[in-house]
Amino acid sequence: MQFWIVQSLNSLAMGGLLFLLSAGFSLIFGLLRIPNLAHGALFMLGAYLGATLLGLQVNFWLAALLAGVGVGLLGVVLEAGLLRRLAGNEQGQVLVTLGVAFIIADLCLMTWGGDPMPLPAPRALRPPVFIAGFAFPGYRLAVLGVALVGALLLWLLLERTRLGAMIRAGVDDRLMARSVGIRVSLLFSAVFFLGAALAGFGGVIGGPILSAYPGLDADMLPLALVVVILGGVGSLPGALVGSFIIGAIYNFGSALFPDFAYVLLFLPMVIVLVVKPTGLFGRVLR
Amino acid sequence: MTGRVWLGWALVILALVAIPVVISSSFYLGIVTHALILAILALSLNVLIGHAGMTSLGHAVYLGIPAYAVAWLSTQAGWGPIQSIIVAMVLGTATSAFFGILALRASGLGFLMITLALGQVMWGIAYRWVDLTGGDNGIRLDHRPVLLGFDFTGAVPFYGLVATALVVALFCLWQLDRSPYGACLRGTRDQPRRMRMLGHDVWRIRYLAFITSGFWGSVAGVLYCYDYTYVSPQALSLPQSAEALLMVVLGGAGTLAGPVLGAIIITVIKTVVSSYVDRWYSLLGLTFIVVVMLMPRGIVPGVRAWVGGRRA
Amino acid sequence: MTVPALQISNLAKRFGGLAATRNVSLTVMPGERRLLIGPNGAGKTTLFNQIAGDFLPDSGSIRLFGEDMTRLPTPTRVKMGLGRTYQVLTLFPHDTLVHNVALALLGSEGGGWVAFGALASQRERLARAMEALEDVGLGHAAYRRVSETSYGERRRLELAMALAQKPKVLLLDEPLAGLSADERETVRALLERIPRDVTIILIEHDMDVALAFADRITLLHFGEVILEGTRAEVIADPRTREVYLGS
Repeated sequence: MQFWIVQSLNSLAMGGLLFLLSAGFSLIFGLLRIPNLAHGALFMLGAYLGATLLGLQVNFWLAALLAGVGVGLLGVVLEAGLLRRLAGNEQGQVLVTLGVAFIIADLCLMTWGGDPMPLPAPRALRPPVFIAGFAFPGYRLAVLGVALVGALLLWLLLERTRLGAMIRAGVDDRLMARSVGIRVSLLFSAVFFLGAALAGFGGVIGGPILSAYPGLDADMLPLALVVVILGGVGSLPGALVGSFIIGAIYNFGSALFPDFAYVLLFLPMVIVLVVKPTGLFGRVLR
Repeated sequence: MTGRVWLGWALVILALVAIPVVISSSFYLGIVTHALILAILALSLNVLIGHAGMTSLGHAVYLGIPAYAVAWLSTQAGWGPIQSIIVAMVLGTATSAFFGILALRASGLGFLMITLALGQVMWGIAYRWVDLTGGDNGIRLDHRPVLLGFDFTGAVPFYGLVATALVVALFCLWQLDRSPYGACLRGTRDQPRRMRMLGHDVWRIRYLAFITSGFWGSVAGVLYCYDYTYVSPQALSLPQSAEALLMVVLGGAGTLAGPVLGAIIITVIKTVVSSYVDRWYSLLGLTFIVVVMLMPRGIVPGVRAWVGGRRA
Repeated sequence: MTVPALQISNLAKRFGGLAATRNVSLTVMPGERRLLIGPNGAGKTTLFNQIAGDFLPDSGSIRLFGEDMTRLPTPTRVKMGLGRTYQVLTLFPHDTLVHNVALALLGSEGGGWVAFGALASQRERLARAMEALEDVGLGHAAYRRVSETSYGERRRLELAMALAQKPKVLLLDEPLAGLSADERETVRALLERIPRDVTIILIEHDMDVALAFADRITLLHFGEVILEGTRAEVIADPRTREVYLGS
């Protein structure tokens, strides 16, 4: 029983991490129409930055925020410096993000070396939490909590603020948004910042669970892709539901059938593509 | 055929025959052989990118799956080369038939994402299903095959095999490009809605292109396995798919010479760079960015335009 | 009792809150020249799109010479004898005029699955493509690329491609759009020369040409058929003025 509880919580924590990763990806794709293939690398960069900051005895949550902001700013540089110059050339933009992904991954390898660097969880959260006689790993609960708070904040941002209204308008109809006076280029940078920052932040939050290691980007990117294919592009509820489904499959799959974890991931993606290519919640995947 | 075309073919055959004569070192001949195998892969991807106008970022599966099939059947099942190759080709082509149905549920960016996701999942399977694939260690073949009486262990005979495959691929894809089907395929790239209104089944045209690219990719996959007598998850990886894509784009999508040229250039750069420094991936990424931003149409169309401009 | 060339019955289509097509019924007899008129946004092109099969209607039916094609995919409708030109030119810009027409021929006749042997050496097909180009006065430009032709020539190519397929029912969406006075006269003459075994449904804003060309006129507004009749009937009807000028 304990095993199932732990695995369930691990799945939820994984789902939470995937949400932090894919929410940003989905927003960027939804608004800018760019599948940001550097997103896994940004997550990994965040994790490495977090590791360094934690090594300097910075408070865990502060480190996560700083890493998020740092990666977010890199995202803005990427968007304004490179991607904007290719406006209208959607394929070119995708390939550029791919190129950037390779460069970031290689530079991380060069800077931090090839050995995995586990990030220490905040001391207060290390001991297990006891509820109804069962032990729950403290940090995983915290990750789930952070992800849910993040989801709530994102929802509030999108539904209750002007910025959010502009983002939603831009996702729905970019040309129309521009013609009603929304400063689209500023909006793009803001959304890219937000998406990248979420990825970087998520990298640190995930650090105690996943560690920072070369190849983390290659491990996370396909998960984000499958979540977005499953949940639908540009849809935050889709990213949330998709993240938890994939988190569960990946986690239980890895625990119970380690050889077949990826095969199990494959199946829901195939089913969704055949039955409802727009994803569970989304609009046309074009 | 016009005189220029005859000349083109003659030059290609001549160059391919001359190479093993000129290059006496088996090490360097091996590099050229590797480049030509990747040229076949790039040519197969070109059917999708250049002719069909569909960008795939998961093409390495057609390199990896047949390669793994040959490797596994040769070592674990003890099959002979002919049977292994046939099964590998069938498996690779069947994979493209299956993946085509999934990927063609979307077009443009959606298609790209689906091919990417499928490729990554296959890579993940190769990496994790250790019992089947050996995981990160891969599968090693004992030796190159003996086919039809020829022993392909030596650098020159294997080069000959690869060069022959390349010529056959070039010929078939050249025919495809000039054929009515090729014209229809390019039509679906340029004006899909119009093509439907002219009576063409656009989905089926694209699907056939997908399978064709899977078939020729599988040819490359089989040769790839025998090249180093080794296959690892690297063969299915995103960097491998990206390299193939870069070869097509760098050389010139939609042309016949472009992917071949791109494959040679990238292989040479990679070999040279890797011998000096470990930063191939940074260079690959940088090359992507430079090509996309500065020469999006690639080298061959650029040179043609320049030559055409000077003639006028 | 002759089978109508095109029979639309109670066609309806909503896009979210917008009723683009409301209970439209239309019967066009073989050989007829039917003009669709109505202010912008009346739903004329949307109707064409449904006849062509770009999207499916919510309800109602479309019959081509008695055969129900409401839910059939576009290429099947083309094989049944439907043809269409577009208001915004959709040609193959990098290719020659002959190649463009050849693509049309491959669509209606088949042969598009042959993956061996150059299209350029199919003399018989190319000869028929040439004929189609000569019929619209573009024979001299046959081997020029579309990008090297004028707008007027491209409009005629669009027509040539549709006619080369020998359609039974042809939808023409603003074939005179954007043409100069001379070019308009050329195209008008071409339209007049189309034989009566092709039934034509036309959307056109150039009233001089359209009214002279049409046998019967259907007036659409807000997705509905307001009235239908001969030229004289429609012009005389006060509802026509209302629709165009507001009451």
